Amino acid sequence: MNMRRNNIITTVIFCVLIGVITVASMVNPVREYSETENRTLAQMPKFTLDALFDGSFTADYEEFITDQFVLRDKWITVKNYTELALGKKESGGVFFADDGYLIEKHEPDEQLIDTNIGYIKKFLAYAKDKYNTRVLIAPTASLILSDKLPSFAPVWDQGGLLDRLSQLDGFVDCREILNEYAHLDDDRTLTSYVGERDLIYYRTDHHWTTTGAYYAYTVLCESLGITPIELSDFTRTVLSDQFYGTLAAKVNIDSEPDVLYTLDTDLPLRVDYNMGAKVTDTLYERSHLETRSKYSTFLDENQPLVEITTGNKNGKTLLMIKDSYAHCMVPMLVNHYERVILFDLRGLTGGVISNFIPMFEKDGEIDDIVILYNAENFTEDKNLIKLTK
Amino acid sequence: MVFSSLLFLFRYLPVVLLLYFILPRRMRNLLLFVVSLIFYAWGEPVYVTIMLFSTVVDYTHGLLVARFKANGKMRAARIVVASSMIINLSLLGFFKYTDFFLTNINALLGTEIPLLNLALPIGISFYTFQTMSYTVDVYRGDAHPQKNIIDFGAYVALFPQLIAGPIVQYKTVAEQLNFRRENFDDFSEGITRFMTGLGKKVLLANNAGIIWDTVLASDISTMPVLTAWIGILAYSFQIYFDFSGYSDMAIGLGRMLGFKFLENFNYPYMSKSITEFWRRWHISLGSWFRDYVYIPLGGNRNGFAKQIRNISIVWLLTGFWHGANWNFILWGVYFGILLIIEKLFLLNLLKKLPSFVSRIYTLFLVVISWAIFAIEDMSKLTAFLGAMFGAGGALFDGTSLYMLLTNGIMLIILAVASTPLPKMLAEKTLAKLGEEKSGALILKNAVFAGILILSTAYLVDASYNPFLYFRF
Repeated sequence: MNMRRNNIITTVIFCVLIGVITVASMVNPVREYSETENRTLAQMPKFTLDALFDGSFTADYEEFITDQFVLRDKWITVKNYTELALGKKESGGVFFADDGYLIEKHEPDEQLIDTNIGYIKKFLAYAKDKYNTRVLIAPTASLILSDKLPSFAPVWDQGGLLDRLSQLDGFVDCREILNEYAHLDDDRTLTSYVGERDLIYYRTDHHWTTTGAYYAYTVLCESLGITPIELSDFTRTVLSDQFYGTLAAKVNIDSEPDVLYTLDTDLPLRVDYNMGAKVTDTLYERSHLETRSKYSTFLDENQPLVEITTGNKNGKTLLMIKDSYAHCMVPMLVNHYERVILFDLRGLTGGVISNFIPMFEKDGEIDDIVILYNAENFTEDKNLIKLTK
Repeated sequence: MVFSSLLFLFRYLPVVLLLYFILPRRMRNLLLFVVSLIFYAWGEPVYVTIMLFSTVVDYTHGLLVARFKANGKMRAARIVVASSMIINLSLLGFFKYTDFFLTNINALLGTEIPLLNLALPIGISFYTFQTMSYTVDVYRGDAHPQKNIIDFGAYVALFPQLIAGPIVQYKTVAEQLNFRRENFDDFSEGITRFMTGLGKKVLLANNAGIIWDTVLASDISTMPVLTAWIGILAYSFQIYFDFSGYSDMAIGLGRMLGFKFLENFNYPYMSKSITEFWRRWHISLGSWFRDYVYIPLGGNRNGFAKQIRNISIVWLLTGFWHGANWNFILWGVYFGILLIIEKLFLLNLLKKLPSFVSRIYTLFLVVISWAIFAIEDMSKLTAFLGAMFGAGGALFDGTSLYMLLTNGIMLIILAVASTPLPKMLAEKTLAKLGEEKSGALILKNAVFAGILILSTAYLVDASYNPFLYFRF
């Protein structure tokens, strides 16, 4: 009779287990947005007969259940730890590198690389006589911190791309300096915090840190004939010591938070977003600190047009055509110009040459132009054609 | 709907089980019929009508066959059987094979007949075979005609086996349809069986599938030998755990509801010959072709030449049944030839060899067959087979070492799980603890609860949950 008892117990255990998860997942409050994953979650689809018969209702409903599943983040964490235990070295396109680093696994589009280099060349040909032009394609962690990647990790040939780009007139190569500061003293960089030496790349985010940007800034300045400000002369302000970046969102395992900070001077500023849509006196939009995407605090995410006027009366204007790698460097660069204009091609419709440069030249000459992208974004951005129009 | 989804596990299944056991016995087949239609219509709201049509056709054909037989009108009975076969095969032919024939006609004659581009109704290859064989069984006297269309409908649509088999022959469940007794022993047996299948599908097959997809996505022309082998081994595991996991879930669900389906897999990768492999792999399909094609053709009774012919026909059809493409035909022919060679002399030779040699022989040929099965594009297939034997130029590279390092544990788990070892170990442990003692009970339930929890975790993060048998 014991066998019968055991079978009854097994039956009860599983009916309760499935029943409890079912009920819990049904009464679980519906969330609009997942902070951890940094995305909006599927909502209950609207029922219509059309949607039912074309199959979209049932598909959407399944997505709704999955996205809104009770304790969703916890389940995903369980999965990720299982994967780690099985010897997986990556998840969701992110490598688990040494010292707690998460490093993006990037797959470049070779054709787009050629196309984008072509656009840069074309723009340089146009700009070289009129402006002092520089191209800074920032190396990313998968190159500079390649020693931390898992053994044999397949990474794209970023060095090869930068070698090709270094043939360009006005190319600013930051590999050497970043390499040097990223590998000064591994023990100290690991435990480092603001006040000690900082990391060059965030462990949980795909950006370089403000310190990483600083070293690149010194190379850029030298190339432009400007004397860079000493690191110690900047004021350092911590924005958050609980920064979990984009890469942490992709893998969702417990990682140490990064520290997000600014390097600033007390130069008075007027920051004009999108031709007067918003005007402030700061380069930081602190409301983002309440959200998951804290890096967006720098220059309020990716705004198409930003015009910064400073208290420097030196009459010099800098135009930057950039992605978000530039955002934490801008607070350093503004110290050398009276006007800094930022173009984010992703949000602009129209051509740089025919529309946007003339638009800003009306108010005064542009002296320097800097194109700043990170190497990975450079291989996938489809907006560089706007440079040539 | 598929079993390996949150929707099935935490919406459909609890509701169905609750209703099923609340309702009195006489209502249960009606409930099964209705919920099975919902199960099917969830993904195919329009095509459910085709299944209903096939159900009605064979319900009436079955009754007609029985009546003609009772009146001694054998000729009329035969015509009805033929009519059922024509209708079912036309359905299958139209939805599954029309575009294949049109493409080939277009290629051959240079015509441009537009393709139908129809989506394949899920499970059509399974339910047409089942309904057809029912009418044949009635004609042969192997089954009594089912007078109640609800009971018959419940048999055809029965959700556990609806989408991917096993192919349940009517005669094997005829009695259970009306006289089954659900009980705790079967239910708990069903649960453990279902959980085993869920784990095979979600934890093993899906993970193996990710490895295979990564390999297939890389450049085949320069693929090192190691990468190609990691890939095809991963696929071999994927297809086994995907399919046998699905069969386990079907058998387990059937058991919970009081049905006893026949086994569909029996550690095929342990086989010592291809002949044995096909007695252990997709057993219900092999039996179907044996009972309804091979034996009616004469089997091995009319001399060796006829037997060879019959084997060839069966394997051509088996291949083609798996998919409307040349690679599936090639795959069937490949096995047909191997089986004939084994019949001719090789089987006797294999019996004399040590087990591990005949196992390696079998596994090697089976793994090659999966390459033919997996890659539909012929030039890609040749390139891949080439890469397995060094056409890519290198034995290994950094990427293949990375794959080996990061998937090594998984591959070992997959390999061990394909053998009877885990089962033997479990039985031994349970015997040691005392099968009926609490220790064994706790261990067993903890393992299966663990499988459920881990599978749920993988399904919640469902970036990869393909289902190989949707094409059948």
